[in-house]
This record gives sequence, C-alpha cells and structure tokens, in this order.
Amino acid sequence: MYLIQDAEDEALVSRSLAGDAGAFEALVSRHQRALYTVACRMLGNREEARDAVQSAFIKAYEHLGSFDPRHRFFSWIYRIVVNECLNLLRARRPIDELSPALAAQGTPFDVAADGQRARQVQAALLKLSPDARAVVVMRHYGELSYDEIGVALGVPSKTVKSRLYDARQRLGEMLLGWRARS
Amino acid sequence: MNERDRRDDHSAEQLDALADALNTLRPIDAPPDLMPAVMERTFGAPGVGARRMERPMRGVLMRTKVLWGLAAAAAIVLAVFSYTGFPPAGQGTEGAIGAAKRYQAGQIAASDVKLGDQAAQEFMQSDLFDRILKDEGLRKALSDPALGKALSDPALGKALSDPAFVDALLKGGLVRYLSDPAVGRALADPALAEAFADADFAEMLRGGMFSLEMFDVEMRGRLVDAEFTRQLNDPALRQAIADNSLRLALNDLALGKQLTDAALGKALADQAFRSKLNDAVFLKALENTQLRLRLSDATFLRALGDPALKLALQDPALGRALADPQFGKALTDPAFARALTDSALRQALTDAALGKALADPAFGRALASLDMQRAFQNPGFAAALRSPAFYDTMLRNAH
Repeated sequence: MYLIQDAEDEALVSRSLAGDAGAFEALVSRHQRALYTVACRMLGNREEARDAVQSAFIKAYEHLGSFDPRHRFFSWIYRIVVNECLNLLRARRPIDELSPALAAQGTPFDVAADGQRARQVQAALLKLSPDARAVVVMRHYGELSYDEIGVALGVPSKTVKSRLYDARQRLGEMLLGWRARS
Repeated sequence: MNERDRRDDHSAEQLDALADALNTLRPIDAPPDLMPAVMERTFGAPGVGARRMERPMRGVLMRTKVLWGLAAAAAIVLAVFSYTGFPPAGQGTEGAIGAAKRYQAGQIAASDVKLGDQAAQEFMQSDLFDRILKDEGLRKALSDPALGKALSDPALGKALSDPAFVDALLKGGLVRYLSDPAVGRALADPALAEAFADADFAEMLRGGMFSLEMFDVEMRGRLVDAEFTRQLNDPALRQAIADNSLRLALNDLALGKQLTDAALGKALADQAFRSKLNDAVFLKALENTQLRLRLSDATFLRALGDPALKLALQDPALGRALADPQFGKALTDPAFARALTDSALRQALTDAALGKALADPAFGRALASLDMQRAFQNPGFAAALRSPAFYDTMLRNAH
C-alpha cells in the first residue's frame, strides 16, 4: 500500500514542481489528516497544531525542489511537521510545558471519542519531554522507521531506540502501572 | 506494534498493551480551512482542484457519513434557504421536504442562490457546501418534520435574512465543525432537533450566541450531554434565553463561556434557577466564578430565591468568600439570608474591612455558627454591623 501511495505522491510532487496547483492541493489533502493528528499529539493544542501543519505545508512547497524522490514524501513532510512542533514547544515557556491544565486538556475530539482514557493517554504523552514525545508519536502514529526518525531529529538510529525505550517505559509507568526501572 | 520493536527490552505483551493504550487516541480530521489557507499562501488562491481530485483518492473518507451538528444545521438552513429562496414556498414541513426532493434531483445551480450576501455566495461555492448537499444525512434530516418546521419558522428565517447573522455564521468558524463527531451526535439528538423548531431558540440563534468562540471546545462538549440538550428544550429556559438581557449577556464572551460550565449546566436543571435567568442583576452575579461553583449545591440554589442575597452576591468580596465551604454553607441558611435583607449588612458587605475579613476561613466559620445566625435577627446587632470596629473584633475572636 505504501508503494502505491509513494508512487502517487511522487507523481504529485513532480506535477507540483511543474506548477500544478491542483497536484499540490492533492498532496495536502492526502496527508493533512495524519499530520494534523501528529501535531495535536505533539502539542496538545488544536490551534497550534493547525498552525504547525499549515506552516509545514508551506515550507514543504517552498523547498519542494530539494525533496529527494528516493525517500518517501510522507516521511519528509512528517519530519517538517514534527520539527515545527518541536520549535513551538521550545518557544513555550517552561510553565506552559508543564501546565497540568494543558496536560489534562487533550483535544475535544479525544473527549468526545474515547473519554477519560483518551484524556489520560494524551496527558501522559504531554508529560514526556518534547524529544521523547516526538519519538513515540513518529514511531507509533507515523509508523516511521528508526532511520527515518533519526533523520528527522538529527540523531543516530541508536539514539532513537534508546529514547523510544525510555519514553515507552515512562508511558507504561503512567498508563499501565509498570514498575519503574532503575 | 512493529516486529522490530519486539526486540527491545520490553516484552511483547507490554508493547501490545502500550500500543492499545496509545490507540485510544484516534486520528483527527484536519480543520476544513487548513487546506484553503495553505493554498492561499502557496498559490495565492484558496484552491479549487482539491475537491475534484480528493474524492477518488480518499473515497472511503468521502463516503463516510458527514456528521453535522448545531452549527451544521444552521449552515444547512442557510443552504436550503439559499437554494429555495426565502421565505420557503410552503408552510409547515412541506417546504423543507420539497427542498429535499428538489435537492435529490441535483439541480442546484448558481442561479438558484437567492441570498445576495457575498459571504453566502462564497459559502455556496465552498467544498463544505458541496459536501452538505451530497450527504445522505442531509436529505434525511431535511425530511424530518421538526427541522422542516424550523426551516419554515419565520423567526429563524428572519435571523437568516439578517446579514449580520449570516456573516457571523460564515465567519465565526462554525462551519469548520461539520465533520466533528461530537457535533454530529449532538444534532442526532431529537431533543435538539425539536429545540430548533422553537421560535425562541431561533431567536437565540439570532442573538449571536453561536457566533461566539464558546461554540468551540466547551460548548461542543456540552452538546453531547443529553441532559444539556434536554435543558435546551425546556420552554422555561428557552423563554429565558429569548430575553434580551440574557441574549446580551450571551454576547459577552466571558459569560457565554460560563454557560458551558459543568456546575452551571447542572444548575440549569433547577426550575428556580432558570426563573432567575431573566434577571439582569443575577446574570451579572453569575460572572463570579465562586458563585458558579456553588451552583451545584441544591440548597444554595434554593437560597438564591432571596433577592437580598442575589444582590449581595454581586459584591466581589462576598464572591471570593464563597470559596470557603463553611461560609457558603452559612449563606444557604435562612437566618443568614434574612439577615441580608438588612441594608446595613448589605452595605457592610461592600466594606473593604469586611471584604478582608471574609477572605479569612475562620471568619466564615464564625458567621456560620448558630449563635451568629441568631444574632443576625437582633436589631441591636444590625446596628453594630455599622461599626468597622466590629469586624476587627470579630476577626480577632474568630482566631
């Protein structure tokens, strides 16, 4: 399935580079849902997520010429979105990052769809450090490979694995009552 | 969970359990205005090609039933009026059913648009409008007698013919929520549909309530609450809502948001409370957070029947004191409420010294004592209340 999607993406990228607005619009249409979801998980804030995704698409268009077609377009745009989110998180004051209200907020969609458990999961995600959260989000929700995550975050795959392990451990402790490891 | 992940130190069972937990967070639809905003920034135009290209690529998504809610209904009403012209040709349900049938014929064209408003024209050309018209749920809803009645309701029609209302509807961001399941479930509630058929409710629409940001997160959360929608359908509440003072208050963003407060929602179930919603003084008092917190207390709600207490509650110092449960309890006592009919006490309540004292929990507990309540009924005590020294003494004794 990925191969088909990737081939379609590749064709749309080529057409976009040739100035076909409809092709770029189709790219946005194909990926906006996944990217918006990721941004919501990263930021815990709908409006900021919207801004992050919008900014990422605009940057993607501006740098479309530098996109390497040997890689997946999805992982490329995904990387841009996650970095937009990380930039927004870094720009937040520490107090915002740790705000219990924000952590408990989740998104209205979570509240409606899954209730309390979803709120707990979103709150647990927001309690992770931005880098740890990014790894979990990219791996679990984006299904990106360790290498792709490594490229996105500018760290070796080994570091990705290590961060992922730590992040999962913390989530397990918060959500599933796992025993803390020394 | 990916097989590769199973090789790290966590067991497969642990990873599966964690994956299940993470999966409770579902994918979220991007806001409808995201793509137009991107296209505007990249190509200088909101884009027109996506609608054409999106469907074959996202067939499953596009076949997903479009969920729509309160704002959606208003948008649909607008769309139907746009299509059929205003006022509707028929009376009662006939006009709406007729509109649905005409829609099914798929004959809508730009020339059918009767509203001259530019914003409405833009809406008619939007992807959102297209989705509404193509949706099976819309056709079903249009044949619903309650919605049909609403469509033919002159009050709602009047609201929709008001450029300010239409403008608020289109620019207020309401239409963004068409695909929000919570909004969809809200409209699926028959009580809400019935509420739409009510002229007072239509007046509420006209009052601009839904042009507020309050419709965003909190309000949608409340809309999925069956109790809240039942309350909306209560004639007494709707009558209150139709009142100018409340409508004006609703236009105040701060108070509008307060209506989504859980405690206030619970209070709405109380007939005595609803009867006060027409009272401008009481509405002003509702701006006090502590008062709203107390509203979940049935005894307190009954105590609100006292006009003096209602008036006194406007005092910020008293509002702050309500944070102390002991003092709040004192306020629910009939003796204390009677004491508040004394103008001296009411005047004293605005005194800065008392305001300071009220913030002290020990002082609140002292006020709640039986002895103190008996004292409130003593004319001599009322006279003493006029003395600032009294508060100092009482505050000292309270510790």
